[in-house]
Amino acid sequence: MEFNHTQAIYLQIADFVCDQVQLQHWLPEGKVPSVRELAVTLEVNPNTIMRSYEFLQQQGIIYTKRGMGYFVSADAIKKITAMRKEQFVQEELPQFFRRMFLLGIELDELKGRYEKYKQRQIKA
Amino acid sequence: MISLQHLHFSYRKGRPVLDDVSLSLRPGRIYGLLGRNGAGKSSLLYNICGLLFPQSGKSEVIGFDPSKREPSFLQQIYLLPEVFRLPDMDIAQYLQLFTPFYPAFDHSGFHQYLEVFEIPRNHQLSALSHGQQKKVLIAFAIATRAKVLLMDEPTNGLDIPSKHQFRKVIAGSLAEDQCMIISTHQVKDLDSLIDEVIIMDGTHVILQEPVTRITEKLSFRHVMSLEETEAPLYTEGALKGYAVVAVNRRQEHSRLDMEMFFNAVLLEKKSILPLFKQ
Amino acid sequence: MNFSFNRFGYLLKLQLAVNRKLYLLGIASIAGILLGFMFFLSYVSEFGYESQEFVFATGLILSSAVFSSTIFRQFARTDDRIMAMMLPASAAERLAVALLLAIVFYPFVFILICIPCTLLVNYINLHWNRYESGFYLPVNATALYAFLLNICIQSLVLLGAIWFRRHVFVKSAVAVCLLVFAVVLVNNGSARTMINKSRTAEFYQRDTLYNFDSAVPYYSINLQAHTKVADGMYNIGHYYHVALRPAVQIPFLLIPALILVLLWCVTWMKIREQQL
Repeated sequence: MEFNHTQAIYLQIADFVCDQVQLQHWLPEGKVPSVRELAVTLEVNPNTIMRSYEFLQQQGIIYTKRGMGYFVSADAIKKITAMRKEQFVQEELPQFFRRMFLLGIELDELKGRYEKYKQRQIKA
Repeated sequence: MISLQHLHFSYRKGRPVLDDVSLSLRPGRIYGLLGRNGAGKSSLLYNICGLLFPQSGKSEVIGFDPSKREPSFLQQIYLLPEVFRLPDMDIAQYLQLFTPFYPAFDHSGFHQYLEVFEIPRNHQLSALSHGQQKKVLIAFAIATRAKVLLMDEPTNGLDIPSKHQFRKVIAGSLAEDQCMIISTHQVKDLDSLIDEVIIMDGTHVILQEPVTRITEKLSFRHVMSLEETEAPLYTEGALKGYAVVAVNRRQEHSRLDMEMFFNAVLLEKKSILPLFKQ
Repeated sequence: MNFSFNRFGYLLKLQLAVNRKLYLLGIASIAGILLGFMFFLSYVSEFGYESQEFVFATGLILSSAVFSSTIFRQFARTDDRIMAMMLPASAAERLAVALLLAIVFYPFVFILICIPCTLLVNYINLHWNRYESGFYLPVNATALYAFLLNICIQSLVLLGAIWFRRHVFVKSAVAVCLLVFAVVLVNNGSARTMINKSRTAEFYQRDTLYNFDSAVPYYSINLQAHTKVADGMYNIGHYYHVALRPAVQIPFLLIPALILVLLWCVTWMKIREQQL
């Protein structure tokens, strides 16, 4: 995994875990790799992984069973979607609007394009 | 775990190398010791492991006075030197001769690390390249399970794949009761491993802070123009716009750019250091 | 003091394994030098019993000194030094290994080299040069003295080996020579004052020259009295051997032993105090 240079590493790792869950690589109620395992794969200090897991636990995306490690919550996908939607609305949308405004693009103009994109995604 | 109080050290009188250095380091963490060449990084490491004796001040490392160099102390501390020479023998012989000195030595761990490092088993040490020899020694150092592991420029002389291997091995081996200090000027290789930064400058330790606290106080950003950012402390021109170190007023969670932080601290001491004294 | 027999064993094994090439090479070259020297002696005169004794004693002490000066070489080389000092072993264990190697192990090896060489040269002399000489075995009083002197000198060389970082052998040799010179001077002086103080009117004669020599440290004194015949000419006179009573001898013998222990203590402290 390549980290980008702007966001804190522990948040990038949390994002990585969310990706795995959303892509169904890691299934609900399934075991998440141990702190050490993930530290080795990502070449990151285990304390940083710990921090990511604690963050994800606060968000209710993973939970811990005493002595057995971390597991994906049953409703993790729902929570991730909600969290990411919130993130999108809070962080990415304002920038998107700013560019739309600068380029003088109207919402109606986008509607048709978005419908086409959705159809292509469903076909694929 | 490691406690140094008001340490003074000089090789020659009137030329201090360490001047009133105090440090307190905890187990379960990886410390990055940064400093320019000649800032006293190696001397500090040597004082911690008892290879040099301070002229004054108190040091206690895992409950021992390092300068006594008791065998039970040396069994629990391992220094990976920047320059070294391995004896002329094969790896098995090396293990046979040296591991009895380390009662906690982890043989299976050692072979696992060698595998990660892609070192063929039972090779003649003198037939390995210097980088490979260094990896053998790193594997040995970690397998001693020493409570304190001091590494002086460990990635010097390693190629890029080896640096990845090194990070994997370190990330997978840090134990809760273990403290690692990595001295380096190649910060980029190691910044994802480091918990806490120690910066030395001109015989002093000028800063010791956890990465989390640094990013709490400061934010690291890339911007197109300098007007976009408030309270910039230090900037570097980048290909597209600027890399900026700024006061973190909006509680952003940015990623610590350790190299830039190091440059910023050395150049803007007066504005940055006070932020951490609060 | 911190001493573990286990670690002592590991350290001994390590020292022999790390230096095995150097040691084997050393043994071969010492055998070569001994043979060469023995043949040289056979050529210029006869390689008789006394020559064999001489070659044994000087060979033992000189080659031991070369060997001892290399024992702490891992402390002298900068790229080995850190790892040598960080090895979990105490100063006492390191000193014990060095002493065992220098004053027990090496002399034994030297005997094993020297005897076959002497035998070989004797055999050749018998068959080619047609003369027979007694075969010297290092079991007489001279050998005992050589072994004892060797212990003293090797202890000094070991101290030199940890004290000096470079040119260990040369510096230690100079130190040994200076020390021997000093001992001789002090002995001679003290013997003179002792005799002068206690000599009676009867003993004291005008025109008599007293010579003191071969005074083993505070132990026995050889005295020669020559009577003056003319200016600068003396009759060879009487020889006296002044020996201490056994009750006094023993404490005087203890002094060198004490000095030896003191030397080891200083070496032990020097090892403890080593810094980069």
